[in-house]
Amino acid sequence: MAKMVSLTIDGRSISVLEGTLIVNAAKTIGIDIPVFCYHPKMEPVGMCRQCLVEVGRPMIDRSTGQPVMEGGQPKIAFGPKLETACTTPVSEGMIVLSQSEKAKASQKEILEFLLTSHPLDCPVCDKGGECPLQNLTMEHASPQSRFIYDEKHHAEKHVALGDKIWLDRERCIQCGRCIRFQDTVAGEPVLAFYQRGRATDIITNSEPPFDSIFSGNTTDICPVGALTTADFRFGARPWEMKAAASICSLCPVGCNVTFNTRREAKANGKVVIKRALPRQNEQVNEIWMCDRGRFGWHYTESEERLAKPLVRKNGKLEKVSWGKAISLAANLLADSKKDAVVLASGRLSNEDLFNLKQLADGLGGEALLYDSLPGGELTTTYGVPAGTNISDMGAGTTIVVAASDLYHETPIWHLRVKQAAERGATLVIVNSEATKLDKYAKHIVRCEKGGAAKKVNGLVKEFGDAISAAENLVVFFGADGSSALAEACAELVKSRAGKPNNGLIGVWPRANDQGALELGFKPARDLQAVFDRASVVYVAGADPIGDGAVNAKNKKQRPFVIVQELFLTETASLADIVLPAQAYTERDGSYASGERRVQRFYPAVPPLGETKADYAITAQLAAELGFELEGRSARLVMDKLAASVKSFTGISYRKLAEVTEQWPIIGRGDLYYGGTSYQNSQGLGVHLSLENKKA
Amino acid sequence: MILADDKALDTPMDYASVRTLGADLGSASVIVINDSVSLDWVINKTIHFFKHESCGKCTPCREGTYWMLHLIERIERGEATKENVELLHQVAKQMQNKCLCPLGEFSTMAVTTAIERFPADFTPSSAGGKHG
Amino acid sequence: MRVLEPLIGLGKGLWVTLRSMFEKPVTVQYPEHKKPVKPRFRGRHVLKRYENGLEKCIGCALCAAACPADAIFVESSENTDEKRFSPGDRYASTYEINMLRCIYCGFCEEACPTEAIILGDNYELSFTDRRQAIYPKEMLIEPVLANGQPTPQKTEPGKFTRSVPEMKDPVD
Repeated sequence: MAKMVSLTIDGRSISVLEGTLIVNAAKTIGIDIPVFCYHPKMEPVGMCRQCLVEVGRPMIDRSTGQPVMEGGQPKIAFGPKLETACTTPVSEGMIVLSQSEKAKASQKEILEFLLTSHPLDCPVCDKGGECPLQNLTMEHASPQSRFIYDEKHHAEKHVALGDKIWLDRERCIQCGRCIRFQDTVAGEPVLAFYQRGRATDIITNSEPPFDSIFSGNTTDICPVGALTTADFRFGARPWEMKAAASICSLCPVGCNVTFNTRREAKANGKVVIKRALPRQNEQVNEIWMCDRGRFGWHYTESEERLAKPLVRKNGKLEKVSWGKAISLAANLLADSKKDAVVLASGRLSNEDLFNLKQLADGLGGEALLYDSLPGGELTTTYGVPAGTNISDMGAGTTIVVAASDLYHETPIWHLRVKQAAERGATLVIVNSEATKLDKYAKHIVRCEKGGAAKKVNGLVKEFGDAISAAENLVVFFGADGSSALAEACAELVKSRAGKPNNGLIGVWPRANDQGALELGFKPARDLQAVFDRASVVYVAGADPIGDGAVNAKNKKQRPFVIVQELFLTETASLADIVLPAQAYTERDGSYASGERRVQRFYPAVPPLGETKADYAITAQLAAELGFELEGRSARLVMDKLAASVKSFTGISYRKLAEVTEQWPIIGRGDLYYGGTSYQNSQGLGVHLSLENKKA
Repeated sequence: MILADDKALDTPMDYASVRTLGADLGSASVIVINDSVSLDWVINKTIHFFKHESCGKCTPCREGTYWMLHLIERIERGEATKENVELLHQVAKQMQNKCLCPLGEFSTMAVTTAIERFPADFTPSSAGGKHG
Repeated sequence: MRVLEPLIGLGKGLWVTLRSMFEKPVTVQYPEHKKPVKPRFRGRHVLKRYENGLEKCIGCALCAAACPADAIFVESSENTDEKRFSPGDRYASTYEINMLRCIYCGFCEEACPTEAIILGDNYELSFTDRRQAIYPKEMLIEPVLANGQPTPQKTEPGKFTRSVPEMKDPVD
């Protein structure tokens, strides 16, 4: 039973867990003590002195060890100086005053000190409008400066830290958040302080500069406009942009993001996405995002996106109307029936994949999942169930990472597994090459490429209790050539199936492979053979010819190919019918992350040209073929999905949009506490159940 | 801590006794100067030292020592007004009880006691005056 | 004599009429003669330049934020030394004012940190189409003065290193 401590902050009594810092205790009752260097996700340092408050503690008589009483109440002794709320843990009977004259004067004075060196850059600074320094200055500081302008400290203005981040040395208030984030959270100490006193500067000590895949997060937590992204530079003012919730579509972590959009003259009056910021989901990505996702959405706005359906006439692809394209495609499928193959990839949402599976089943053909991990379907039986949260894993949990480089494939999982290892989890890595996660591992097993399965099979023998007697066991597995790896990993977790924080997690190459497998898609093997024997292949979101999985043979032998895509890929350019699909930023949908959590995304920009959502296209095709599929909206497709797929039972768009209070409190006009990540008010997602469980 | 009191010569150098003079033992270093020395020059030197040694972690010391240095330099050059001297005093007082470590605290003590006890040395007429 | 009283009243009135025939009229014969405007008259907006020809506008969009009628639309871009529009980091690549939304209050003028946008003396605005009321930057920017160069300019690197040009307190 955790010990609770009672104290009074600004006249209000509260009771919090022992060890809570004053600044966090105050936050829980809505009292905002201003901070700069403190961040709720990092250890406090007490550097900036902005959070100084008056702290009084009950006096204890040294001889008797009893509190000194005065008028029936314990006598409170206030310290001779103010104390920093961010470094002081609460104690029983403590009295904290953050609004007293002394405390208010101190807050004002510290801000005055900071502003003596801070340049007058607000009009051109990207942080303006979402700047903690601006907010706190308006709230606490004096409107006039007593410092003579000509004596202000000058430093380098735009320093490139790598090609993604710009540093402005004059704006930096030396809070150290960026350095501490890189050191303790990201585990890549590529930033450091250089020189001392007023000349303190941030430098990067890696080559290439700021060599970290998490570098974009420092621009979120920087309390001033010192660190800004080159991608967004001068894009727009925060109040000019609208926000739309979404899920990153690049990897199976499923980071919650928020897109900021604006209607621009530069884009000829179109609504475009200006930037992507993380959205808080403590069970998926906390408040972080990797650089790949932060800057990797630009492809949705490429000039080369398909806007109209194409049909091959006389050897060339020509634009046609939807009606024509659909009826031609339907004819091809109707003729082929059982010899039709639906080839989809994990880039599509659950709704799209469900309709495709229904179509395949209706025709009697095959539904194949492109380029996934062989043996991946085992995760539908032995995957992690509801209640799983990497943030809860610590001492007593063993995490096995087999044949996967989490840092490059799924960076946020790397971050969270690293933090779990630092909390005491036993990390066992089986890989043919060194990875950045190695230095947190207790045991590293080297193998050859393709030989990971054998090593995994031998883990219990080699490390015994670390595996078999661990309270919790989670196994991440990647691609190692055959399904042997997935089978070996499944063996390890078989007996624990169904227990939270236990099970198999596939490090899929794309966002929604998990969803595809749950819906019944089979991982494709030997695509060449598939293409050789099928009469029609309906390819959605995949490029087998471009990736070299299939050889483009001459026309006579080639099957008819219908491609549903965003771009004119190699497969599409050789196809018979090309149907333009909407990008995930233009529509609703849901992805199932590798941890088997279904999360929904919302449209951020209007659809391009005549594109349609994948599920709508499939529904239209089905209608032509004579059977009914839901295609009116993603929500309705999900309802049908949840009714027929066991593991999705109970999931609906309303449920996916439910949120619960999360800690730390992010957003909500309190940017100085957590940074510019967005508060999550659009849904935390729902875990899939393990209905396919076989004992 | 600037003292011009003969009592200082008889005071033992321990914490309690030194406190009676309104000073602090600190690192137990004593600098003796005669009255031909102008205190604005002395304070310039001490501020310079502390500004150079400041680590830069905490805001009051990092910004305060920098600010005090500019003010004292102006005073020493004779370009300062009475308000500037008052400002220097206030900045020093503003830094007190807020710094992360005693370096910041001690940087202010010579400044405050000098301005309080020897205001004549900080007037424009005394600027550029006698140095030791 | 009772007959004369109304005649005297009539005479007084007619005298006023006759007198006013010879008074100087206050009518200003617009448009041949135009009354000069007062010094702080708020008319059509003008984006000012410095003497060397560089634009004063740094694309900060504070005018757009201050505007109570949401009449101003600003998009910013970065200056390079090869193509420099303003003496700072940033310039307004798109600047549009919807003159029909504008209420000529002058808040944009007050908000501007570089005194770039001012409300000038021109009040003679008319359009025949609503679209014509959206004045783009080309219509708002003042012409280059005698000693200045038109923008974009090619400047030497290292000359304009500050993010925002240094300003003095306004004089007027």
